[in-house]
Formats: sequence, C-alpha cells, structure tokens
Amino acid sequence: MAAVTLEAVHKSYGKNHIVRGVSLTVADGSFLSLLGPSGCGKTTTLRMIAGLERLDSGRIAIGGGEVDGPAAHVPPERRGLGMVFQSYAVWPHRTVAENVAYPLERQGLNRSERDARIREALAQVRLEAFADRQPHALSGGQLQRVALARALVGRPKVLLLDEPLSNLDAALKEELRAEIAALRARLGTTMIAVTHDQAEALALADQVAVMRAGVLEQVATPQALYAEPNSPFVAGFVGGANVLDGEVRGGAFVLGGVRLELPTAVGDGPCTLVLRPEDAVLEPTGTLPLAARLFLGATTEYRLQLGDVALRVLGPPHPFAQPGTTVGLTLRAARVFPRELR
Amino acid sequence: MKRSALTAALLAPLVIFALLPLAVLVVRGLRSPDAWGLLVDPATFAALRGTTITSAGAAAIAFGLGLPLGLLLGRTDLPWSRAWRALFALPAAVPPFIFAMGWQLLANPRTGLLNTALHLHVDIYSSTGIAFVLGLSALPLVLLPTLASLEQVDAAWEEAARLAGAGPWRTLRDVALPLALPAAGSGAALAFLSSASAFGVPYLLGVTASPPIPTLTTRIWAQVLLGAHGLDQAGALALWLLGLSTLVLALAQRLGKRGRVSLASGKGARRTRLPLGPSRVAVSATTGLVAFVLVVLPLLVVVVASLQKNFGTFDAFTTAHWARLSHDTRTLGAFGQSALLALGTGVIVTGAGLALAWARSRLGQPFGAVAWLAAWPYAIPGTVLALGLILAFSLDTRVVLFDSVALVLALMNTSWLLLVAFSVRHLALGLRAARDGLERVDRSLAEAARLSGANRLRAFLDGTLPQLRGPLVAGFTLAVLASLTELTMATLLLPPGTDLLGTLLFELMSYADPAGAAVLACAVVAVVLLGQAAIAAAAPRKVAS
Amino acid sequence: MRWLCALLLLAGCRIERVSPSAGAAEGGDEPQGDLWVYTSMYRHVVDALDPVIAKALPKVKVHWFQGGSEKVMARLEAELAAGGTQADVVLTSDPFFYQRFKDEGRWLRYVSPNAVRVSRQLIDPDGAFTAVRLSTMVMIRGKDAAAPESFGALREPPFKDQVALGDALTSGTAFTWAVFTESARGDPWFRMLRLNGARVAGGNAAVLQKVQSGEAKVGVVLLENALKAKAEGAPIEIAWPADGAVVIPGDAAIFSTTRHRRAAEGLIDVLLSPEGQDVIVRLGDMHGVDPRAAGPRGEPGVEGLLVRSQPWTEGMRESGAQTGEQVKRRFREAFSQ
Repeated sequence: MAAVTLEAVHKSYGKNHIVRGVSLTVADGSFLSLLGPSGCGKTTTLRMIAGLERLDSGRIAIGGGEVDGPAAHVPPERRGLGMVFQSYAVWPHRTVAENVAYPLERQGLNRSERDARIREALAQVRLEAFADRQPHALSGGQLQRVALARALVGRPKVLLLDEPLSNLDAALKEELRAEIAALRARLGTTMIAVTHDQAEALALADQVAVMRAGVLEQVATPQALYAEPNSPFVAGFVGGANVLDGEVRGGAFVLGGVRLELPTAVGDGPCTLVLRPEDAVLEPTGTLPLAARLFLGATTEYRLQLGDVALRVLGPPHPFAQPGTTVGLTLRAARVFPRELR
Repeated sequence: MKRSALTAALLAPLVIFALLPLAVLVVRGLRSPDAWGLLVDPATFAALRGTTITSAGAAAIAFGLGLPLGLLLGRTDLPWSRAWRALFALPAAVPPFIFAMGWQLLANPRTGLLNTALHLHVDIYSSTGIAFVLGLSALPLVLLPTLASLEQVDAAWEEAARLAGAGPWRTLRDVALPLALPAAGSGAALAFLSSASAFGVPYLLGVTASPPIPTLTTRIWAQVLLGAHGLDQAGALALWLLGLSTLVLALAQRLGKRGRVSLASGKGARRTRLPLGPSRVAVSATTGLVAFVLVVLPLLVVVVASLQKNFGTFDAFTTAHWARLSHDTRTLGAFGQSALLALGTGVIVTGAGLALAWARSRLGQPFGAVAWLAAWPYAIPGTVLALGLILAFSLDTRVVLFDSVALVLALMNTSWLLLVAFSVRHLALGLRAARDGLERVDRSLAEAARLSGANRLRAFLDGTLPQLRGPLVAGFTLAVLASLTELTMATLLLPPGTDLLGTLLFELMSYADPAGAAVLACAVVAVVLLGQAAIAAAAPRKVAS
Repeated sequence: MRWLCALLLLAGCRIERVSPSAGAAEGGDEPQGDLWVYTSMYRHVVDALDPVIAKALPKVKVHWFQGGSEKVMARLEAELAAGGTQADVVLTSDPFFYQRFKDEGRWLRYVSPNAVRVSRQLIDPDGAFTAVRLSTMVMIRGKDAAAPESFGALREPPFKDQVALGDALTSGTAFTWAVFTESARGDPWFRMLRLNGARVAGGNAAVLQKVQSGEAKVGVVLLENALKAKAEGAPIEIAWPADGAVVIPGDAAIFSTTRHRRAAEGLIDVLLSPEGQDVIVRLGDMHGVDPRAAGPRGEPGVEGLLVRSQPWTEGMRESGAQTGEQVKRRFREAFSQ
C-alpha cells in the first residue's frame, strides 16, 4: 500500500502539450478516478505513473520514494504496480492461469506458493473454473476479470485501471463495478482509474480528479464535486448539468428572450448558468415550448426550448406537460459563473 | 545497455556485412573508366526495360495468385488447406531454373508438350514466359505472409459482415481482403526484387527468345566476363538494380500505409472459417487444377524427363539417373551441409530481422533506413553480391599479440562466409516478416508484462514475441527454403572440400546432366515435403483453432 | 553482452603461431606445402586426379576451387581487385583470359619437362602457360536431321530455323567459337546466322538439351558433352565441320605470387604426365595434349584432332583478348534485331 504523489508533471509530444503541470496526491488506500473527455491527458498521466511514459518535467513518487523525476527513473517493472489495460492485454498464448501466474514468475515465487496465490486471485474474481481455458474462449467480461486477477496477484502497492469498464455492456458494467468496489474494500489497495464515464467515477472513487486539456480542473470527493463544481466544465461533465451562456439582469437569467428567476441574488452581467436537470420544476403555465418527453422509469426527462438552446429537466410524470405545449419553469437551485472566455 | 551502444551493436553487422560489400562494388564501379557512359548505354536501357517488365509481371502474377489463394486457404473452410499450403509453398524450395526447365519442356514453341499435344500456341521464350515462371517461383513470397497475417483476424469481423447482408465472397472481399492487403503488397514488392535479381530464369528463357530479352542481371554477368574493368563496370550497372529496388519499396510502403491495423491486442480472437457453402466442391476442384497445372505439372515433366534415357524426349524409360545419384555419397553430404547452412541462415535472418524491426519501431532513426538497406542485397544478383563479399573479405584481418600469436579473422574459404552471404541476401525476408508481425501486435501486451515485473527484453520475449509466431515462421521458412538450393553464391564462395545442394545442382546442369539436376531437385522437394509434414504432425494443435 | 560479442569474434578467428616450421616457403628440393588450384575441370575428374597427385607429390596438399571457367575468372578478378589471390595455379578453358593475364604480367614462366612432346601451338612461346587438355567445339545433329558439312553451312537455307548456338556473351567456349568463325568469315557472319533463324541458348548444356529434345536440329557444342550424351544413349550424331573444329585449350598457369613454386610446377608436371593425361582423357571425355594418349571414347588422339581443327595462329590470342569486347558487341547487336 502506498500513496502516490504527482508534482507539476509535464509531458508533451513535440509541440503537443498533453499534460501541463499536474499536481495530485492519492492517499494511501484510497481510490482516485481521473475523469475527463478523450484527449484530456488522463491516460498519459496514468501511463506516466505506471512508468510506461517518461515525464518531461516534474516528479512522481510512489510510497514516498521518487520513481520519476530529475533524480530517478524507475522502470515500470520495479515500481510494484498492477495495471488493467483498456484492451485487457490478456496474452493469447497463455491460459488464464498462466496469465495470472506471470507476475509471480517474475517475482521468483516457487511453484506451490504460486499455485496458492493464483487460486486466491482467481477466486477473488470468481474465475476458479476457468483456470485452464485459452483466452480466446472467454467473453469480454471474463477477460476483464483475468486482467484484474493478473494485476492483483502480485499484491501491488497501487492498482492502475485504464478505462476498466468501457468495453463492457451495461449489465456487466454494473457487475464489475460492484466487484471492484468489493475488492477494494477487502484489499485496501491504492487504486487509480482512468475513465470518461462520470457515473463510473462517482460510483467507485474516494476522490475524483477532473482533467481538461492537460490540466486538472478540480479534485474533490464525488459528493463535493457534484455539489460544488468549481467550473461550468466540471458541472457539465459531472452530473450532466445544463450549461447555458446568457446574462443576469435584475435577479433573473436571460437567454433567447426568456427570463428565468434565480433562487439567489446575483449581480448583473454576462454569465454562465449551470442548472442540474433535477433542480428545476415544471409549471403548467409558461411560455417555454416543450420539445420532447422521455420516460426513464424512476423519473421523466423533459426537453425545453430556450430560444435555440435545449434544456433538460427531470421530474415526475406531469400530466400537463405534453410535447407541443408550452410550460413554465421554476429554479430551485442554480449556480452562476462569470462568463468563461472561450 | 545505452541507446547508442544498442544502435551501434545492431547496425554494425549490417553495415559490415551488407553495406560494405555493396559500397565497395559501387564505388569501384563509379570510378571505373566509362562507367557513366555504360550506365546510360542503349543496351543498358534495353536491359532495364527487360528487367522492369519481367519483374513487374512476375510481381503481378505472384500477387494476383497469392492473394486470392491466401484468402481461400486462410479464411474459408476449403478442405485439405494444410496440404494446399505445403504444395503452393513448394516453389520456394525448388530453384527457379528447375521450373524453367519444366516449362521449357512444356511450352517451347517447337516441341513443347502443350503446343504439340494440346495444340496451344504458347511461347515460353518471351517476356510473358519469363514473368510467368518468375512469378510462380515468387508465389510463396506473397502467399505465406498473407496467410500469416490472416491468422490473427477475429472471425467476428467476418460474422459482422455476414450479418450485415454480405455473402461469403462479398465478405472475403470487404473484410479479409483489406486485412491481407499490406502483407500481400509487401510480398509482391519482394517478388519484384527477387525477380529483378534472378539470373537463371531470364538466362535460360530470355537468351533463346527471338530477339533475346536482355535483363540487367544477364547484362551484368556479361559485363563481368569482359574481364579487366568488367567487374568494376558490373558494379556500376548494379546501381540500376539498387535504384529500382528502392523505388519499388517506396511504392510498396506508400500503398501499404493504408489499412494497417493492430489486430493482436489481447482481447482474444476466435478463429472460425467462412463456409463456402455449395460452391465448396467447385472451389476445391479449381484450386486443385491450379495447383496441378502451376506447381505439379512442371515438376512432373522434369521428373518424367529424368526417367528418360535421353533428357527432353519421352520414349524410353530408365531409372539410371536416379540410381546413379542415390549411390553418390556426396549427395548425402551435400544434403546435410545445405540443411545446416539453410537452418543457420533461417535463424540468423529471423533473429536479425526481428531485432532490426524492433529497433525500427522503438528506437526510430536511424533504423528507418534499415528496410532499404536490407533490401539491397536481395535486389542484386547473387553473383554480384558474392563478388562484393570477395572484394570486401578476401583478405584476412590479422591481429598480432605479443609478436608471436596472430588472431586471424579469415572468412574467405570458410563456411562462415557462405553463412554471411546467405544471411545478408535473405535478411529482407526476415525483416519484412518481423515488421509485418510487429505492426499488428498491440503494445499493451508488452506493457502488461512490464507492469508484471518484466524488464524490457523479457517483456518483449514473453508478451510480444509469442504473437509473432505466424509471420516469423513464414519468414524463417522462406529464408530456409531459398538457402537450401541457392547456387549462384554457393558456386563462387564454396570452401574447398565442401558440397552443397546448390553447387551439385549447378555442376549437374553444366556437366550436361540436366537429368541428374532434375533428380536432385526432386529429391530436395521430397525432403522438403516430408519435413513440412513432420513439422505439421509435431506441432500441437490449438484448442478451437 | 559485450563479452558474448568478443567471444563470438574469437570463435571466428584462426589462431596462428609464428614458428620457423610453418608458413615459410619450402626448403629443399621436394615440393611441399598447401597449393590452391582454381579450376573448371569437372569434380569427378578432380576427384580422380587427387590420388595421382598424392602419389607424385606426397607432401603437397591441394585445395581445389572448382567452378565454370567464367566463375573462376570472376572470382580471381574480384580477389585481385581486393588486393591479392591465394590461388597458385589456374586450370580453366579460357585462352583469352590467359593471354590477358600474361599481358598484365601475372604468370610465372614455366615449361614442364613433360611438355616436350606437346605441339608448339599449344604452349605459350614465352612459357607463361601450357595447355594440359583440349576441349573442342563441334556440331551435333538430331538422328533424323541432315548433317551440316561445315560451320559455314549453318547460315544456309537447309538449316533455316534449326540451329542452336551457345551465348557468346556469357559462355566462354561459345565466345571462342564466335571469335574463330567470325575471323574466318568477317563482319556479317553473326547477322547471317541470325537471319537464318539460329537460336541462342545459354551454355553448352542448354544447346545440347535443345538438340536432344528436338527443339533444334543442329547445335554447336563441346565435343566432351556430345560424347557423354551419346554414350548415354542420346539420339544425336557428332558432325565434324569441314572448315575445322574449334579447339579450346585448357591451359595451366602459375601465379607469379605463388609461395609454393615447386609444388605448383610439380602439379603441372603431373597433369602432363601419362597418368594425369589418362585421367583427363578417360574421365573428362576430352583430348589430352600428349600425342601418345588416345582420344576420348575411341576418337583419334591429339594429332588427329589438330588436323581436323582450325589452327591457333600466332596473334590469335592477342587479338581475341583485345577485340573480344567488340566481338561480343557485334554478336549482341546481330541477335537483338
């Protein structure tokens, strides 16, 4: 178990600055999710922690010891990590058990120790029965679990997960998400996961680091991130809030000729409004055209038209709100940011 | 090891053994009197034209046959696919001039069997004839890599196409074909190079054509025989071949850039074969017919001819030729020597090709140029390469210690020089195979090994290398087969007291005993077939593959 | 890794100790040492010569490099260009090559005492080389074909589209034949052959095969190839040309750089001895130079051969060596039309 620290880490390919001064601490035994859209530098950051990419400047420490930086570069095989690759990277020429055995072979464990550890690791991911199978005879979810068992079997200080659930269908995703959470609770290993799926990040992590264009936007617990996003980008990316560019005039947000009364007082001027879909309530009377109504089970999603911008609102199934009619809107909570320079 | 040290270690043998002999030849050539006049002589242009036409034709034939055959054998449920594979790989093991002999008997305009018995009007003494024979000999260069590249393809890709409404043929065309194209394309480029550097076939068929079809290789050899400055001027002429090869490789690389995909990424690939359905019988019959006409028939004619008292006519049978050869102990020794040398060449070529391909993908420059460098010795006639090696290595390198003991690095007249010659010549085969393979393996397989505690080398050996098995075996096979009966370099570099299959073949041919040569060639073929069968029988069959 | 490289390099090395007994030139009168011989003689002839040599020169170890005359020459050229050859003796069938090397001053002068009976036209007047065997270009015809009377007849209508010739550009024997026949008939000779539909094949084996298989009715080949094929039952007949066969002397010469002069001279003595000549005639199917030896396979001996062939006049070698390139060009141009 070990903490991971990144200090002003920088990485570029030619003129392309991929990671720009990321500083981050992952506490011992905690789970950090690196969240962001594709191309934001999150995977490069993870690969630098793994040692698969060298950083240009800054330093990385694992468990207090510097593994990368001006003073040292520890190759990946000596960092004591485990990693689950997006493509799983399960070796097709080895059986499931042989795949899982590999890190132990490298550690030089003897056969009986190895067998015990393999059994234990396969049990953790519930693949005991598949030990002698060839990888091409496994499903995607099973391969994923082989990769997980292989990453864990060497008892790594830190487990790195690169988009661990992205290739799976919805049901499998749920299942593995629960499994990873359970494993974590049991093993207490420090974990760092890269994902572009905010639900995945929020569900699993103690801390979520949101990245954008090579820079950390915000690092916080999932709850704090959800409740207190510090930028419209974070708010938009986490929780799927509506992000609207408009103007505040006399305590109301104005966009496309529509006035929405704000629940709290804000000074006049151009601004960006962040409104969560569940923070607005539909009223039977009003001037906003209702474009669509989608039944989602527990809630219903409504799509309103604000000028030429669409607005998503979640609420109970109101009988009055039929597509084609107009409705009103009351904001229960909203966040207003100064207009971002774009 | 430091990067610079690694670079030097990888490049040094290549520069010393491949580049130096060529450089010596070319520099001497350009400094020889009237080299430039010779380079642009009308006769040289005629030869350049002959080489370009026959080699391009050969590459087109090898590609046009090899690609569809590869798709058929690699992706469909065509029965006896292993047998077809072995059969179509045979031309790699048979010296091209044996095929030329067969086709000469079949298709010479006056007494060729096809012309007299079937009343066709084919003339093997033509550009088309030369391209045809060269193309058939180069068929394995396209076929084996194509098959190797298709091995890694997940059946799901094809199933998806079937579900999208494509019939089996459409599926082959739209899914498997684009995946096989890069390997087949670079195979065709190699087919061009091997044809451009071929001497036996254009010589046997081109000289007799009316008017004769000059090629660069025959012209170079004629130049060598002028003596005096002839050797140097031949080196200058070889420049055309080097240029031509560079051009062809550049072209192949441009075309090959499209459609490279990473296939082996550790997600597992299921291999099922596309059912041919009702057309299975017809396709089998066609494949059989093609194999018979193109591979079996010319060899059969040579064998039958060798059973004649009088080679070339078909009247009286005798087994005298066979008996004579089988009694010869030299034949047996030559088999052993050749096999050893060929296997050594295969190992070196595969290993060096792998190392260079790896360096190319991981270290970048200066290894980008390695592909050209490795292709040059393959693109010039074996004779020229051998002469270059003699020029470079005929003098011993002597290191004197304590004024009394001398360490003499003497390559000349040792089997090592032959090994060097064969390896340098066929390096292009190993490099190409390794590149084709490496480009298709996702790097996460090696990275996973590193995260598991393996160092760089170990990760390559455990994570990447096993995925390269198919392409590497294909490259190894091609190099071994080509070395087994190589005769141009062997006759020039053979150390005294050694016998090789190639030199025996050459001797039999030139000692007016073509029947003996035919018998020996057939024996080689038989051994190769047995070897293939043994390997196939010994190889463990994979589950569900 | 570095140690591995060093080890590999060492493994490839030969270790020599300098001591008075080894490597130094031979002392005393008895020929000894390692002799390198480059030859175009067939392997089985060489194999049969080995015991004869061993008996006569017990302390000489002969290393053979064996290949066609053209390959031997190419290898020698390359080695000399690189700075020197290890060859001591050359035994090939390429008269113009010997002349050229003589002009370049590469041969040691030596006339064997065993050459005392050999016709003067077969020995270099300056003693730079001596013929030890004779190959002969003759004509062959298929059993059912008309016999050409002379080489000159090959351009006549009866043999239209029926003749196969060796390639003068790449076959040494075909080239010698071309030099002789052209010098007798002048410039248009090759063009007339071409107009008469003569086909070029590669070397002697290719010509022989074309006649055997009926692809051509008449061909110009080496007597030794024809004799052997005929003895094995090929349906061909040998036709001696009335205008004279072309004899190609298989010369022996010693490099002036040799370190084993006595051994080299001894080898030439052996080749010219009755035992050596016997092996050459019996197994090589060619003529010896010793008039006492019979011809191959019942043919008359060397004196009978020289009567039937065109003489090597003084200056023939020089002009061939100097104008060979032009002869080849004319040949190429005539057949490219």
